[in-house]
Amino acid sequence: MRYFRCELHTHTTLSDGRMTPEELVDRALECGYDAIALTDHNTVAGVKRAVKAGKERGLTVIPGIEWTTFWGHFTVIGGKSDVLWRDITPDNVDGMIKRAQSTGDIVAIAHPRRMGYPLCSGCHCDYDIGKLTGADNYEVWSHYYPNEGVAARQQKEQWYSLLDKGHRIAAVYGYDWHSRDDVPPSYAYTYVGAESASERDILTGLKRGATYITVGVEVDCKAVVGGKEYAIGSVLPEGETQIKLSFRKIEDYRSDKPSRLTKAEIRTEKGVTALPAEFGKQTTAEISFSRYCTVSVYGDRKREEQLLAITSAFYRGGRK
Amino acid sequence: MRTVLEGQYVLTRKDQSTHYKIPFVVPEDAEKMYIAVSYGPKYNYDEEYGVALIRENMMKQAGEPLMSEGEMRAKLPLDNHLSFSLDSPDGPVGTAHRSSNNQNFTICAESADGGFYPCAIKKGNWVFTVSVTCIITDQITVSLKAEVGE
Repeated sequence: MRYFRCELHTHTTLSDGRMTPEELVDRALECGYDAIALTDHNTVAGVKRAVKAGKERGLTVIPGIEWTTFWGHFTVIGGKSDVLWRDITPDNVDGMIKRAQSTGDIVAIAHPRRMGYPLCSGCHCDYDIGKLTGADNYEVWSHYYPNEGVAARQQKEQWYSLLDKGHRIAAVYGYDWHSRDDVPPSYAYTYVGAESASERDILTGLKRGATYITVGVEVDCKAVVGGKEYAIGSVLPEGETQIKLSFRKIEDYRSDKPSRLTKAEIRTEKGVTALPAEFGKQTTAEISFSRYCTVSVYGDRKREEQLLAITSAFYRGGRK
Repeated sequence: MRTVLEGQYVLTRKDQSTHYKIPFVVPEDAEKMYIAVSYGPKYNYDEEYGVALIRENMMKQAGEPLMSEGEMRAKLPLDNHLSFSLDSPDGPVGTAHRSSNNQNFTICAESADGGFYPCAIKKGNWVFTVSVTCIITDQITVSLKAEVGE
């Protein structure tokens, strides 16, 4: 298994994007993505064109849609769900998520703490978060300046609170890509652990929660229990547990690159443990947890210490 | 060309977050459907109202300031946003979601634009739905015309 660079939240001229499906595919290839999902607002009208262009040009394009409801947005990828966005209400949203997932599609809560009405109506998640805990993925970061600002902090805190309560929901980033962005502001990547960059394998990786999100740092993160290595998203057996970490600069990251790493933090239901972190060096830590364990990576970027990467969790025990 | 739907529809603030359904009949099978929809006003140019509305909802949603007053003013003028969906006698034909308040669509069995899906123009009951994503003026007037023909 390896980690593939993905963008799971994109738009085209078939909704309010500025690139045609073919232009989106071309741009994604230029930007080094292994796979993208097309998630136009409430329509799959561009999917056939994007998938065809992807096949011709060598990019995995996963069919999808963004349910753009009045009370919140969800990216739904896999292309099999028959849920009609107009039928989703605060009362039935949990059932609609399950119905989409029953077809094999992956559901992510999109930019839940972004400002909604009157600037971007529906962008803020007004649903009862308790009804959304069955979603597969949560956009911990989204759009530009993903690791900065109040919305990013609130999304991270809400995601952690879901993990604290025993829910299993993987962290993803959503570029919410609408235009060509030749010189993009700060943005991030979602890396998905999979056997290949095929649609099926990426969807499997997302379902397993084998993801991390990053601003300019590749993270190799494994758990070791009883001599066996486990990928992010795994449910670990009981026993002494080591977390093995190493980091590499993403050389083709197009915005401000991190100059150095400052620390890694391992977060569990018990608290946070800080570790040294350096590009090109492995860090290993013994860790004890009973519910979940995630890793955050910090470093200097734009002349200040920033959170640069977050992994989805390793889990233990029963699922809530 | 035959007009199968033509009208003006007034939406008010009470319609925020609702789907306004406009049924119409296609009397006989046709090759293509042409839809022209526009609405106005698009913007609310009252700056003080805009800043107050952003501030109120920012605190309601985030519980803390997300932006400075200068950043709020940079977001003005606030605008109305409507989405449009179409249902044929056989089911959903897609949704057009974009900012423009003046849109034209052509739909037939082989092709469609704007977010709609290719669809045979069959005789029977159709529905055009206006989804009120954001209304920040006292009212919006929607002008709609659907024609079928070659």
